[in-house]
Amino acid sequence: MSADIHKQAFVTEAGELLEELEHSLMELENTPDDSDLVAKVFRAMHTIKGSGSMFGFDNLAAFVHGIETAYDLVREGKLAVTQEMIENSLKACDVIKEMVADETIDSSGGDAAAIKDFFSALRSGGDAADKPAEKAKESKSSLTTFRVQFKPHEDIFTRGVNVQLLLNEMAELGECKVIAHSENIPYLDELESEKCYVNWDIILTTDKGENAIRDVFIFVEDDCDITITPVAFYDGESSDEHERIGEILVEKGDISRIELEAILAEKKRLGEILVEKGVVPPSAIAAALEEQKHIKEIKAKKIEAEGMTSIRVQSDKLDFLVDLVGELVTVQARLSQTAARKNEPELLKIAEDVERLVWDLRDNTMSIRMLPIGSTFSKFNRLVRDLSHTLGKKIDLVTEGAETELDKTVIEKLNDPLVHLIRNSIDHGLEMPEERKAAGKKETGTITLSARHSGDSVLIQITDDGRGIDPEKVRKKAVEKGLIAETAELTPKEACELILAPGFSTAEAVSNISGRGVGMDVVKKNIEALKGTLDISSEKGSGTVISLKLPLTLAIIDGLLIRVADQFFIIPLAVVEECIELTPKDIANSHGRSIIQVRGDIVPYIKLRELFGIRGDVPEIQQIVVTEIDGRRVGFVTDAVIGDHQTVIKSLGKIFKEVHGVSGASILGDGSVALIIDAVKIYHGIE
Amino acid sequence: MLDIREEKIGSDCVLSLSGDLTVCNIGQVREKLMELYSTEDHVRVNIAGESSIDFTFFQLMCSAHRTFSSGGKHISFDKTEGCPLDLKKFSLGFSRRSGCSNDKCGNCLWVVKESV
Repeated sequence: MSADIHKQAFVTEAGELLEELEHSLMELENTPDDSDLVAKVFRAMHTIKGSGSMFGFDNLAAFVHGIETAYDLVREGKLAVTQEMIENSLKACDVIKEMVADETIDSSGGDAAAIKDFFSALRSGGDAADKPAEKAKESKSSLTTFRVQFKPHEDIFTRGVNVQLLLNEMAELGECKVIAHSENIPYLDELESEKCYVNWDIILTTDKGENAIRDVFIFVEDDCDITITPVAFYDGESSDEHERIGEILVEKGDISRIELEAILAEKKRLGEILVEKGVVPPSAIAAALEEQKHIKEIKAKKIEAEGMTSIRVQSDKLDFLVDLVGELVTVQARLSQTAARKNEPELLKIAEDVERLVWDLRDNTMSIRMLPIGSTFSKFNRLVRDLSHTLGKKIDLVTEGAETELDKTVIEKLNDPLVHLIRNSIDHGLEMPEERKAAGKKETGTITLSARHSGDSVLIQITDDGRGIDPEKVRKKAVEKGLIAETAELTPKEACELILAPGFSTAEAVSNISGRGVGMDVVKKNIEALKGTLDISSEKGSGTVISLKLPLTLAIIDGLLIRVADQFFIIPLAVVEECIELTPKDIANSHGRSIIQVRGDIVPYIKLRELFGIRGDVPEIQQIVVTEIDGRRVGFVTDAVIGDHQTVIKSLGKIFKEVHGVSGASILGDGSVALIIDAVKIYHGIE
Repeated sequence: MLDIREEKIGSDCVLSLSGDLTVCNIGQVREKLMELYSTEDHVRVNIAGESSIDFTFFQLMCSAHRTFSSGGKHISFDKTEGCPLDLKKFSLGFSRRSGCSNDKCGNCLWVVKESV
C-alpha cells in the first residue's frame, strides 16, 4: 500500500537527518558551548523520533526519546556537553541507522542498551523529572501562543498518515487545545470514509519556536495546508478581549472585515475616534491600514515561496523522465537527419526548433538529477574521526568543492570507492604522530578531498601528506607475487600503479581497516564501471594523490561519432584529445609497428577494423582519434570521423555481457545502431 | 479485524462494533449504518469491544449523526466502561461544549452531556 511508500520516504529522510546529525555532533565536539548546534542536534533527534513514531518505528522513537531529553536539558543549561556524550551520541546514530533499516530491532541489548543506560544516568544527573507544565511556568516570559490551522488534503489517509499522531506530537510541545471543524463532513450516502473532510485549529502555547511546530508536520507538508500564526506573546501587555475576538475571526477568514464592521457598526472604530479627536489625519489611518495589508500580503507570499522551493520526487520517476528524454533525443536526431535530406526550408526550421528545445529539455532534465557532492563528503568526517581514534593517528580532513554537482547515480556509486580510498590513505598513507614528527612533519596529517568540474567530467582527488608509495617496495612485492618479471623496467609511476593489480596489497598485516584482499583493483573496477578513470601519483615521503575522473552523468554522454566500413562507433568525448590523419607514409615510417609521431611524441594506436574484425576496403587516408587514458595517449584508427554526437546510452543486455571493448549502444538518426567504445577497457586489454 | 453485530432492544437497535474501527475497515461500518438508516429510527452504537479507533470513526459518526438527524431519526452511543473514546475525542478535537453548525437537533455525539 501507499503507506510503504511513505515509510520509504521516512527511511530516506531519516538517512539525511542522520547525516546532518552526525555533522552537527562532530561540530559540537569542537565547540561544545555553541547553543545553535545544541538546538540543531535536539531538533534532528526530535524530528527522527516524531516521524519515526508516526511511521510505526516505535522502538526507534523510544530509543531516541531518552537522548533527545538529554539534549533538551543541555538546551536549558542543566547539562554540559561532554566528549563522552558526543561519543555516545555518535554511536547512537549508528544504532538509529540499524533501527531505520530494520524496525524490529529494539534497544534491549548491545550498544543500544549501553547508550540508553548512559543517557539515562546523564538525565538523572541533570533534572530529568522536569515536567512540561513546570517548564512552561518557569519560562513563561518566553511563551508564545500559536494558532495552527491544519487542513489535510482529502486523500491524506491513503498516504499512510495518522493525524492522531501529529496532534499528539503537537500536544507534547506545550499546552494545546485542538478544535476539529467538522462542518464539511457529508451525509452517509456521500461520505467516502477513507477521505478526510475535517480541518483543525490547534491553539498551542509553547516556549518552542515556529520551527518546532513545522517539524511536527515535516513529513506531511505536501499532504496538507498548514498555517502557523503567533497570536499572543506573554510579555505582560494586556489586550482587549472584545476586539481580539473580532480580529481573530477576520484573520482566520471566519467572517469578512465588512461583516465585522457591520456587526460593530454601532460602536465607533478606533480610527474614526482618532480622526474625530484630531489626533491623526484620515490619510494616516488609510496609510496604516495599507501598511498592515501589505505586510500581510508579503508574509503570505513568503510562506508560499518557502513551500515552493523544493519538492521531493522519487528517483525512479526521474530515471523514467531521463529515459524519455533519451528517446526524444534519438527521435530529434532522426528528424534533423530527415529534414537535412529533404532540404525543405519549412521542415528544416521545425527541425532546428525541435533540436533547440530538446537540448534545453535534456540539460534541464539532467540538472534535476544533479546533486552537490558535499553530502557524500560530509559522511567522511565521521569515518576519518573514528579511524583516527582507532589507529591513534591525528588527522585533519579538508574538503574542497563540496558544491560540485554530479548525477545522483554517480554520487551513490562513488561512495564505496571513496570510502576505500580514504581508509587506505589513513591506514597506509598517514604516519603515526611520532613518525611524522621524526620526519619533520606536523603531527597532524591532512587528507584533502576535493572535487571540481573539468570539461564535461568531474575530477575528484584524494590527497594525503603521508609517507607516499615506495615504488621499490611495490616492485618487490609485484615480483614476489609473479605479477612482473624481476628484470622488468618500470618508471616510478608505473611501479606505483601496480597496486591496482588484483590481489595486490603492501599491508604487512591484515587489519580491520584495510589489507583484506579487497584491493585497489576493485576500486578501479568500480570507477571504470562509472565510465571513469583512476590515476595515482605519489612521492615517497611526501604523500599520494589519487585522481578520479568521472562523467557528470551516466545516462547521456557527449561522444565522437566515427565510422569503420559501414559500422558506426562512438568514443566518449571525455577521453578524446584530438583527431589526426594516418597516411600510407605514416604507416611506412612506422615499419610495421602501430605507432605514430604526434608533434615529436610517439603515440601507439589500435586499429578498430582489426579489433572488431570488420571487412572491407581500407581508405587511403585513415583517421586516428587520439585519446588520453590513465595519463597516456592512445590512438584509435577509423575510416572516418563524422563529428560530435549526443549519445543516449542503451544497455546491450546480458547476451553481450562478454563483448570486449564495448560499453553500450546508441541509436542514430537513421535508426542504425552505433556501439559505444570502452576505450579504457580496450587499452588495458591490449596492454 | 472488525466484528459488526446488531440486536433489537425494545425500540432501539444496538449496533455492537468490536475490533479495529480504523481507516482499513471503516467502510464496512458505513455500509451497516446506511442500512440501519433505512430501517431503524433509533440506533445505539456500542463500541465496548473495540481494539483501536482512529479519526475516520469519528468522522463517520458525525456523518451518521447528521444523516439520522436530517431524517428525524436518532443515533447515540451506548454507555461503555473503560472506553478510550473520551480521551480520543479530546485529542482529536471532537470534545465540545456545543455541537457544530450541523447539529440542528442539539444532540451532538461529542458534547459532554452525550459522552460516555
